Amino acid sequence: MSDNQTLEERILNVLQTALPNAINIRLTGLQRTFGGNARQAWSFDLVWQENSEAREMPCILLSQMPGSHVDSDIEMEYGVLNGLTGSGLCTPAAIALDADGTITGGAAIILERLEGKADVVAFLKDATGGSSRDITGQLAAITAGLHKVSWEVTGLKCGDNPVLAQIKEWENIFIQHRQEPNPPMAYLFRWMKKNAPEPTRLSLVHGDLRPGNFLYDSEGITALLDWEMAHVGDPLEDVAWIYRALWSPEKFLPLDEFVSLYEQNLGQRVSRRTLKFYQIFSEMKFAALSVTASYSVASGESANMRHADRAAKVPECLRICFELIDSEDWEVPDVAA
Amino acid sequence: MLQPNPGKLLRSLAASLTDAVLPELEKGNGYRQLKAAIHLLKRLQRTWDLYNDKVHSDNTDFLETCGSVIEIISGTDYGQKFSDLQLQLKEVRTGAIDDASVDGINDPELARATRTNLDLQALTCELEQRLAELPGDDPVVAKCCALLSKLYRRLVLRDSVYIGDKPVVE
Repeated sequence: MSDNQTLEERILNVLQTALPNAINIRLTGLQRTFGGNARQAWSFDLVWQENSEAREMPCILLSQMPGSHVDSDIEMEYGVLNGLTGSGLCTPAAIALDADGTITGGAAIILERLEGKADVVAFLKDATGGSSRDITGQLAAITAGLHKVSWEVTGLKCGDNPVLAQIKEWENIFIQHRQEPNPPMAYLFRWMKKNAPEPTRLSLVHGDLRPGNFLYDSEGITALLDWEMAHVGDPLEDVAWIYRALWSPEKFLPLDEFVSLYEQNLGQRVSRRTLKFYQIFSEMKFAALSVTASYSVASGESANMRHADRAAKVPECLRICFELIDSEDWEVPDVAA
Repeated sequence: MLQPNPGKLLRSLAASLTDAVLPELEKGNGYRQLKAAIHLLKRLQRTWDLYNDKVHSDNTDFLETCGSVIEIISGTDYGQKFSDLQLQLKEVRTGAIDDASVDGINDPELARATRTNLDLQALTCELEQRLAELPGDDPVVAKCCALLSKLYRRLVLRDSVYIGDKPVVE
């Protein structure tokens, strides 16, 4: 029995449970595909019968990789996508959850596989800029739509202070994985806890919304992907993350224009000071992810060469944080809040 | 025998892998891994000889800045809370370090400097944390925090040069 047949049987077992009314479930075209830095992925087409109707759906199986720099809750992700079904947001349907890792050894989810590509290199290299500008404009509208969804439908928990909780979560990740005390980084987490703005609204936050995490085709954006960092928080966190320099669409649509489109679709103005705070937060989050990735290779958990030198990304993140901090008088009350 | 020096070796290694090995691989995980390794070799080629200056400059800066902060705060009513850090700093200055070996560093003197650096990082973190527990509107506390704040900016700037983000300036 080949590895693929064994994998196929394990997938079918999970699907039988997830689709109790389905009969004659079959998979075709099962093949390994690229799942990103933190995940293994396989694509296949699912065929079954339900209520005497023939049904089919292209699917993707996503499974956590050992030594991943993203310690995510795949059950949570499944719950979020399940809750968003019917919300009008372009998200893949959640088909099945394999929390026990019976398919690959790691927790996994099976989602609807949607059309489009997530090619961040092609997106950023768009020579004419027109297509990527249009897509970025769409992203502003879609992001506003995401932030208008009632976060309660996702099953996510919201504590007393979700903003502080997020800062502390990333601070803990930094502390657990740092290979040296790093006083500037420790200081910046303390600064964020002291200066975190009160959110004007709490929303479902995607947590990793950026070029590379949405599918697009010639018509535009077809799906938002990779919800493993979703949480309840200040929605400006998503806006700031989209515009991190490494993947920023700034050259197609400047941040100010994106924010204007976002505000139009949201139906309210947002604080530029709060957005700046979340630009600082974004750099610190990326720095913490980089520290973790570097640790995973240094500790032997991972052999991923793309993570070996991730600690070298940290100084630039901290430099940007200090520049942003120095560009604003944080003691003065934010009149736009 | 000094040639080829490590920088040249790293450069030629990166070039050989790029020209002779990478084209042999199919686009896939192995290809991406090798590209990442070549990228790292190129960064190391630009920066392999900057470590010594970086660690010694940082150590001098830590000692001077933390020394100033501890001296200032020791002259206040809060001084008692910092007496152990004052002692630790004195031990670092006098070179009283038990274990000078550091994984990845071959030269004993550089290992000692690295161990000193790690101890000074930890001391600075502890100093910052204790200052944060004091009234922030106290002018002396604010002055001490400002000194550390400037230290962090200098450290990050030196990091940027050491990492290879910014050029070395004479």
